[in-house]
Amino acid sequence: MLTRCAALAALACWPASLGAQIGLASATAGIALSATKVASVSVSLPAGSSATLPGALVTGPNDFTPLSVATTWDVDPARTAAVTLVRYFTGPAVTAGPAMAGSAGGTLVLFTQTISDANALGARSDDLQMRIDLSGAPDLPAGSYTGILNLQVITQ
Amino acid sequence: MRGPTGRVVRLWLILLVSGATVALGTRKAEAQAGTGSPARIINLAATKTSQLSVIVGSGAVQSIAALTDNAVNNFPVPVSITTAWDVNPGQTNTVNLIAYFTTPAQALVGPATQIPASRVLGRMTTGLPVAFTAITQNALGGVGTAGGSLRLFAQNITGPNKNSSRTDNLNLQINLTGFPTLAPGLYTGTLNLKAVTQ
Repeated sequence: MLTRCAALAALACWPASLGAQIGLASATAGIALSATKVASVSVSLPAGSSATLPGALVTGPNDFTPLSVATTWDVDPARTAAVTLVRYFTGPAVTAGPAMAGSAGGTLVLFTQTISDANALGARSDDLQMRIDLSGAPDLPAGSYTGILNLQVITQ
Repeated sequence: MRGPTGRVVRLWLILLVSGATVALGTRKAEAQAGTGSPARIINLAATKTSQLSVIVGSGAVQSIAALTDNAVNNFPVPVSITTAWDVNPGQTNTVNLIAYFTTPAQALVGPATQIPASRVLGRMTTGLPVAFTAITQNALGGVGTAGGSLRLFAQNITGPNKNSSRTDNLNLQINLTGFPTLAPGLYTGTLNLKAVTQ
């Protein structure tokens, strides 16, 4: 009698635990994903990086052949107001800083491109006209004169 | 009474008394057999709780320092995932691990644009997507989202492994081939992991 009761009690327990396992789901674990698209600006000289004055230096203006300059940018318009192209000769007093380029007394801003949502990804091509103006300058000794003109694009 | 007949009389008396005793005893025995009280029921209840868990051991934070447009970008380290279960093999055929994005169209959100789940791929060489596969499957067993899920493995359950675990590595990548150039900035999102039985 006692054995029969114990068996019946055991059978009464069994079905309750079986039904709970169908469609059982765990707690959720998460993986945090992040990826950064870095802003970029670039300047290139599609027609080459050398410019030679045609003919000889003369007193007065001496013009080089225009040089093509290509500038591209891919920036965040929320953080960039303008893209600026500057040209400069390396000199003894070079300015420093993330938004500065050029040298004291030797820098020229070629253009400032305003940035908006519409042109945050963009490019432009310009011709750079260079001139050596010897008007009123002392006569130069004969010989070859060379130098490096730097071009750099910065964001502001 | 004495004499040979006295001994016989004593014997008969003994037999008579014994018989009466036996007769009386028998009636008592008959009255006790088959008698019982009403049954009292004791309700017993005991539950063995099934267990199912997912733990990320390492790689819970995944970063790409510099995305390249129009290219495949790999997250540098794998995610180590341990799935554990204690289930009834009579009611559970498989334990499945599902990865999913809550909003598939915006798997990663950036400053101006979003990267959809179709551009995020997962690979588990010890599971089902042995090659990089876009996280664009549908939910399974009520877990996951339509078009934003990926079944990572389906573990068959039998008696020997009804209480067990496994550890797997998940590799992730963002494929931007043919995708419009992203605006510069930070893109973030969460990939959810959940196990479910079937």
